[in-house]
Amino acid sequence: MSYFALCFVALAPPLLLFLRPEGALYWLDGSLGWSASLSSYAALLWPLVILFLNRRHFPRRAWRALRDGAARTGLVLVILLHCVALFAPLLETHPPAALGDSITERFQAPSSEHWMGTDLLGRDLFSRVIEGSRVSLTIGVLTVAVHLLLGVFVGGVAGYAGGRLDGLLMRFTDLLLAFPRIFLLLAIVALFQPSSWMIILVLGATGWMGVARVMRGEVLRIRGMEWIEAARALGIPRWRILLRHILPMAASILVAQAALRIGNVILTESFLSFLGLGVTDPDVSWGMLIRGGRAAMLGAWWVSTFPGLAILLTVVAYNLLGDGLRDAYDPKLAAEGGGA
Amino acid sequence: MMESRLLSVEGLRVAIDGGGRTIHAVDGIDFEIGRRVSMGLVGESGCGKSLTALSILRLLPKPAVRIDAGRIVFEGVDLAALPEGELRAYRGKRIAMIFQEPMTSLNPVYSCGEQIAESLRLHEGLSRREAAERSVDLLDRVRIADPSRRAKEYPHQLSGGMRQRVMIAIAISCSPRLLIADEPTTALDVTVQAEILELLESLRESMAMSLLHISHDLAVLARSAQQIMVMYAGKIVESARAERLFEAPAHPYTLGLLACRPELGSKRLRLPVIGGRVPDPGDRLPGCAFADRCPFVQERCRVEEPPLRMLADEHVVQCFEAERVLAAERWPVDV
Repeated sequence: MSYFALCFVALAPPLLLFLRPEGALYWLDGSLGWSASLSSYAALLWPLVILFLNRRHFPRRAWRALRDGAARTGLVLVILLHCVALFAPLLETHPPAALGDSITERFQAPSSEHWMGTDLLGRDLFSRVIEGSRVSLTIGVLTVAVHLLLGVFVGGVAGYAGGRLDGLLMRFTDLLLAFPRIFLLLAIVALFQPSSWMIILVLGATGWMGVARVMRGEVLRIRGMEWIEAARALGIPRWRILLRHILPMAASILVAQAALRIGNVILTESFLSFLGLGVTDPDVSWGMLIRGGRAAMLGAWWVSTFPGLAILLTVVAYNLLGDGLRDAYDPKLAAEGGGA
Repeated sequence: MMESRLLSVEGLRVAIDGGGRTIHAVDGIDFEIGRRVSMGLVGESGCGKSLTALSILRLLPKPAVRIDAGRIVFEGVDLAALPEGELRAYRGKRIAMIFQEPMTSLNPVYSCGEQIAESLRLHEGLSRREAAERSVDLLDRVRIADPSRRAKEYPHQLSGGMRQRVMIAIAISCSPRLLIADEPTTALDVTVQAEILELLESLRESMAMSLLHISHDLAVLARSAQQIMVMYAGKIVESARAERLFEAPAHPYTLGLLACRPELGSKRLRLPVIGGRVPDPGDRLPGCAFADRCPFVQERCRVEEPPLRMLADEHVVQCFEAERVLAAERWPVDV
């Protein structure tokens, strides 16, 4: 039952989109174009991917996780945030890129006309924060997808092959971990033209090592189980054992990892954008909005504060959800009858 | 003209590397399994019987355990020398295996039907639907009631005996020529055990396959095996037809195993015990591995290893004192 409920939650947004075609048009016409529509697809695919990987034991485990009030709050907030990103054009009170009069409309305090005030160029901050959720969430979700792809591949192969290949892959992972990531990020971003896609690639390529380690540990644990030996005795090829018999067992922990990571990635992206090395106009991200308020922080506090709160809310939401999922999948906690 | 032999193992040695030394857990064994034969392999824990079974399909845990020497010829092909990719065509297709623990040998995330269908689709190239239909037939064949419902159930919903039946259904799904059953009934209760043994026997008959049944329990093999091999410390010390082995054991270890079975109606209050323990394969002395525990031991048993001798038709034993053992009515050191 709960499975269908979650499927409905995941499928509701595109159905609503069919009901409001003018919203969809506006959205595809917007300056963000394909990046924004990808955000919505990522938002849609995400719960579906979770459901697919965990289709066997998803309902029971998930509901145990969601019995925990904090985790449930996290899930509701995450769904809300993705809905905001999805329906941004319908929620925005002003076109987010529209400039206001440079004398009368710059740095206006929050009012009934501009709910979060305006920025240096007189643009409506509320609309820009809403618009920023698209890029920030897209980068969060897609970067973590890159982490999962690379990490699961490297960790899975290392754990399953063992021996020299394992040593080689994991030492390479250690090497990347030992490298100061911030400098690496700054160097790469400074070398190339910054853009949202560049940020996703760079953050993705420099952050997968933790996933690889978790995945390798899981594979080592699951590989020793008897049904894996039984599968080998049936002549099932190795890649198939890894994909069909080991990966679904590791999926639960990976899902919890992913949820925790999204918050983290959004923080890193904000940091890069704040330095001016991340997302650039015409795209809008929360880190970039904070940067826009830096010069007038004392006078026009709202310009940096509201995007900051949006980041805070997102990171907290993902962390609550991730913590709840991790606890639910922890066999030690499970043995105590599901905890609180 | 087909060969009467299905499998012949020649001079198989399995080495375990660890702690800077190499020990031979299986130390040069030879045996043959004919077609449509039920062969038993008995021995205590750690004697190398499971390693023997695993090495036939080369499932030994790499890299610590490996086949050191020997040939494993199945239908004229040496499996020990075959590349991994070609070996996969044998695993599950022509040689299938059943494991001891039905609780953990099934993958908990797939339904029973899906697990049977997986090997059918892989080896027989059946479509999803055909494989699903066949898996229901197979469940019926291993005498599971209401097979179409059970096919949709997950392993945790089934009892131990039923899971073992599902394992058997997976094993016979591609009509293998040889079925290796490694302690298939050890984890089950006695009544279920009898049913499973009977099922295996009737499937062996009807599907014209051979069975290599590994057990630590001679009583279990007495029911099912036509030919029995006794393994001790990595070697096959005696091999004979089942009736002959029970009537006239010629190796002191076999005699001891038979003696320590409880018998209904016996007046003895205590069962005899084979004293001592299996020597550590790492510091094995020259001579017979059983010498330290053997009531028939002679001087030369500790000096040189006895050769395999043919006592009668199909009765082979590795003991200098086999004639004395044959003459002895029962285990001489009763407690």
